[in-house]
Amino acid sequence: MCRFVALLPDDTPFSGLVESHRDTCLRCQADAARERGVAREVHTLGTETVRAPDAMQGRVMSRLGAQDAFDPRRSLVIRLIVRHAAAVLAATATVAAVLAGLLKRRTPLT
Amino acid sequence: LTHGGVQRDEKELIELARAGDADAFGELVRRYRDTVYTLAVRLVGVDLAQDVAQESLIRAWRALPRFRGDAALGTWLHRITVNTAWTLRKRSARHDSLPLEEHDVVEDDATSPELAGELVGVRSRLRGAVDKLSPGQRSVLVLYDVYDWTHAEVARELGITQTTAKVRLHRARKRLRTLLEQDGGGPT
Repeated sequence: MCRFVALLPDDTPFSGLVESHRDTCLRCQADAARERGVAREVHTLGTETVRAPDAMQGRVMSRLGAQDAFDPRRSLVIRLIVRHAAAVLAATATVAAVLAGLLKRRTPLT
Repeated sequence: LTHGGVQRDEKELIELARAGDADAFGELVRRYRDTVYTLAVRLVGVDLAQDVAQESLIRAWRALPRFRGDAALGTWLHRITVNTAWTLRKRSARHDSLPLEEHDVVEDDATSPELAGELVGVRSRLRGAVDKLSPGQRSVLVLYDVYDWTHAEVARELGITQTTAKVRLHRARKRLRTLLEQDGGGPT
């Protein structure tokens, strides 16, 4: 691996700095070519199908139950809402605390 | 499922299944069970794959009245499978994945016999290496490199940012390369 990239944290390979470095570094280019080789090999897995167990169809059909229009992605949506709601609440609380602090400082003592 | 000896087309089956026809849905399950199961195996390993595939198909049945046909049924089922895999993997305490038996794998008809023979060994090593990735890296690698999803699609379905998806993919490929090299043969 190139010494420059090795020094960087693992989550910076997409910064502009690293991208422009890669354009001129032969070691990085070789590394990227090897990564593309891995991707090509992994892609070959897409042409194979794994046969489902024979009993699966029967098990699915015996458990169908009523259609209730449940959204299978609901859990993901809730997860995202909770995550963002927590962030928004935390930011609001911080801003409120800062404003309260500022107002307290500016309020003249009587 | 036939109608007057003629195999029903998918659109008709979907409409019937949406209206609650279990037989029509059974035919759709028969057509898609292998692709759903294959994705489940790739995402969670063979020991949990059957649970994921079954649950995904049952969730699909429940949700069918909401299926508007914006995407192909296969794509829609894949999305449900990804979400179900995420949910069930969290619930499952099992981490050790059993190896996939070669006789369970059906090669694509388009592959020539010579190439198919060569691919068996490569794919076996690949499957072993992919199984060793962390669940997060594995999901991104499978969806992006095997199923050709975009970074945006991967990020949306896994509930992560696009940057996280890119970083995970980069790390997954790097780790996979190391695992394949340790195994005695790198990517060609």
